[in-house]
Amino acid sequence: MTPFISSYALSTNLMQSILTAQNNLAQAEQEVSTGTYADVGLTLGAQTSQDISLRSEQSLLETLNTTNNLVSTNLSTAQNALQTLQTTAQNLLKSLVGTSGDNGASDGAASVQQDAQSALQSLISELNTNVNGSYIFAGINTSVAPITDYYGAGAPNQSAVNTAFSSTFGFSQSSSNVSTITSSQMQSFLTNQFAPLFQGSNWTSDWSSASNTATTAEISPSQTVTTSVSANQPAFQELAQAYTMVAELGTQNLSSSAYQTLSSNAQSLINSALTGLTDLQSQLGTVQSAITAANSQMSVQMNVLSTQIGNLENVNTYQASTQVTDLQTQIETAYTLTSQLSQLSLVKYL
Amino acid sequence: MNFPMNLSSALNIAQSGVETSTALSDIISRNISGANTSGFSQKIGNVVTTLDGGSEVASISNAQNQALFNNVLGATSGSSMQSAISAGLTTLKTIVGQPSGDTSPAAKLSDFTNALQQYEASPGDTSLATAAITAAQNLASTLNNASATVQQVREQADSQMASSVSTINSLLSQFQGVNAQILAGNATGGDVTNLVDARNSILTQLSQQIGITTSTAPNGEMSIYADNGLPLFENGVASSVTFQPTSAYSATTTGNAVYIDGVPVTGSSAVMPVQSGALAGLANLRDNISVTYQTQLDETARGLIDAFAETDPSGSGTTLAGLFTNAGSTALPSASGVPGLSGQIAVNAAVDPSQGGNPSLLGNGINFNYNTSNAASYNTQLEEYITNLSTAQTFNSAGDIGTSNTLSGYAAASVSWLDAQQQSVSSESTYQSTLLSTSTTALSNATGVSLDDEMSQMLDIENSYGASAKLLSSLNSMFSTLVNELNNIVTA
Repeated sequence: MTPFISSYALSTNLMQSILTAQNNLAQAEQEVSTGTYADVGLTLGAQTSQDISLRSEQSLLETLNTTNNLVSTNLSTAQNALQTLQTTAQNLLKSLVGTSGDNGASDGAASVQQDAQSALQSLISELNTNVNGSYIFAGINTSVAPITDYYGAGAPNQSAVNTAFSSTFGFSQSSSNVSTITSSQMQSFLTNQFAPLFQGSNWTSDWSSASNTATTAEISPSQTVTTSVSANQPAFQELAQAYTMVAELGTQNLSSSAYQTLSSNAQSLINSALTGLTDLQSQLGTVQSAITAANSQMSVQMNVLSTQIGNLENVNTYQASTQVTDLQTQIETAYTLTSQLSQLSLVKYL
Repeated sequence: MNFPMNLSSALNIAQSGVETSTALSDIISRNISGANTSGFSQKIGNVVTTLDGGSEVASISNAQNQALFNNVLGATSGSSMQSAISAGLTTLKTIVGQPSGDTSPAAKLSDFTNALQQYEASPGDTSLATAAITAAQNLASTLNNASATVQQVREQADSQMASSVSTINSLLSQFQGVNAQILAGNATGGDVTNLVDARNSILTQLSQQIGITTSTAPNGEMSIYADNGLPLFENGVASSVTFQPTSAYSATTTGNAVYIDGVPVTGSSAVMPVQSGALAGLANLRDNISVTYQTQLDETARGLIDAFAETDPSGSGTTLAGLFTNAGSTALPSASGVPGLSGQIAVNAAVDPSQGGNPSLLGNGINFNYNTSNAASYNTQLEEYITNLSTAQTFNSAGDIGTSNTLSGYAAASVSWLDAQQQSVSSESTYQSTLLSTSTTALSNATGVSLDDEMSQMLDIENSYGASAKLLSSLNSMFSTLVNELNNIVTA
């Protein structure tokens, strides 16, 4: 005798297969719509840490990309400022050279002095450039404008120059007596009294509050670079010295020989500063190109990471949608069978 | 032919035929009514020939298949153990969510690292410092919540164990009653089939709670043993299963063991722990899985506190907890691990703007002043923290996911561990429930009821009832004829 199938087993079997198929269908539908596994963690199991590490690496690279943009902004601003400084310095140098043979010194010297004054203002304002409130030439002391405004009220740098001048010559720069200063007196003043005002502790107390420590930033997971130049660089000190010299020592009233001495001192300082500026520009340029290289390398890396994350998390959408269709068919078949089986009972025929 | 045949004996036989048919149709109607009840076994009327040549239903037995029934019991235990673990893991899984969901401690750590990285690139920007502190707070509170969830899972498992134990005791006392009735019924030859069904149903319910094996004595008395061999019901006496529930759990709480007649069967003190059933699953969840996961969270918290510890720059060698603290204490947690640390880790109030703190201290030093020149863009300390986060640390081996890893690697490994647990439980659970459904189907086919089968038997019975009735009416007319003839003779 063939063993029978119990009525209970007959109905529950179909019911269970419908339930299972419905669960699978919900999952497959989610996978089709999202393109990733319904439960990534469950599917990957112990491999999940790989997925998480890839994701955190990717987000770190994204962060670095963002911070690199910020650093790049700072660097290009600094480059622009350096370029402006260079142009100003060259223009003043031209004026100085143009007036060097001028015996009378009066007309030419007056315009050179004005040029120098505006050059000094430009130097101060460029070195005090800020990006989002952060002073880019201040080293790590970014919250304070690094250079004291020479023309500000009670400026310590201005009063230091004035004091040095009057204590050496016995009169102020605006006095008509400046025409009596000899070439050798001027040379001695420039070397012994004037130059030290722009160096060492005088510079840091009167002129600059910048930190000698430059800002640094991590531009890729393995690379940290210096991202600024400090206003305490010798090139800036030389420019300040040269500009102040021409602008503030009663230039237009100097005797021709004293003017010549002053002019040649200023020219040699500017020339040296120009070399220094070029060095600084190339130094920043190197960092800029390092950032560009790091960014492009990281973008390649991020692509690779996305692909790897995709490999772990993504379902084959074709497979998933085929599965949806299959499951729908299966459920429909089960429904049909249920209704037919309920008809298929001996009771109906007795 | 020397059989003493007469009309009255024929009448008796026909009558017994009617009675037998009635009794059999009663059994069929019982079968039909139970056709869709799980665990109902087909009742079979045993028809015997009586001494006078008639028939009667001597006894009723039910279709049984002990081997298949044992399979069902085993599969039920296995399946409910996996469901118990699976339910707990699903709750734990809410801590980590999906890798893309950004909810796990590992993801929050990654968010925090990114915020720190941004702050490091622009140390002068206070809003970025605040963002880093906020990310740190998110990380700390994620760990706090995770720890709370783990303890909640343990608490829940504990209370479910208590209800499981009380279910076992109540089932055992029901079993005692039914078993005694079956013994008595067997002794007097009564119909015990419904009682046997009831007893089997109790056994099935019992096997959901704890893995069991049974043995039946020749007189029908049954003994139940837990799957570790301890008797649950023997010689008509139920063992007492005891458990002292613990109402509140912390990381340092150890749950009580379940005892069968004073012998521990769960926890570390059990020499022979129970292997299956909800009780075994819950005990495993409460005493192993969540404890290990809690250790992983605690170690993550400890690694975090260590990575941001501040060392005295003057060289005194003093090291104090910095950004992250153990509930505000500046002391560093013990290197051997502090149970429950993940529930207590907090962001130092000194950098928390909502508590009047200054976020910039994160980079400048909380306990010590590293930024002596007071420069706005000082980031040496931040760089060191970022380096610390990507340097390998040593972790407690009790976490079960290796002892040397970076903090982010450890946090990711912890997620992996949980997912791997869930994966293995899920596949085991699928296997067990398939096994259960297959064995239930097999048992149902072997011992259950088929309506068609019952209906066709009903047809047979109708026919034999009709035949017996027809016979009765024929005999009746024969008697009438006989009596008329006798009357005629008497009156004649």
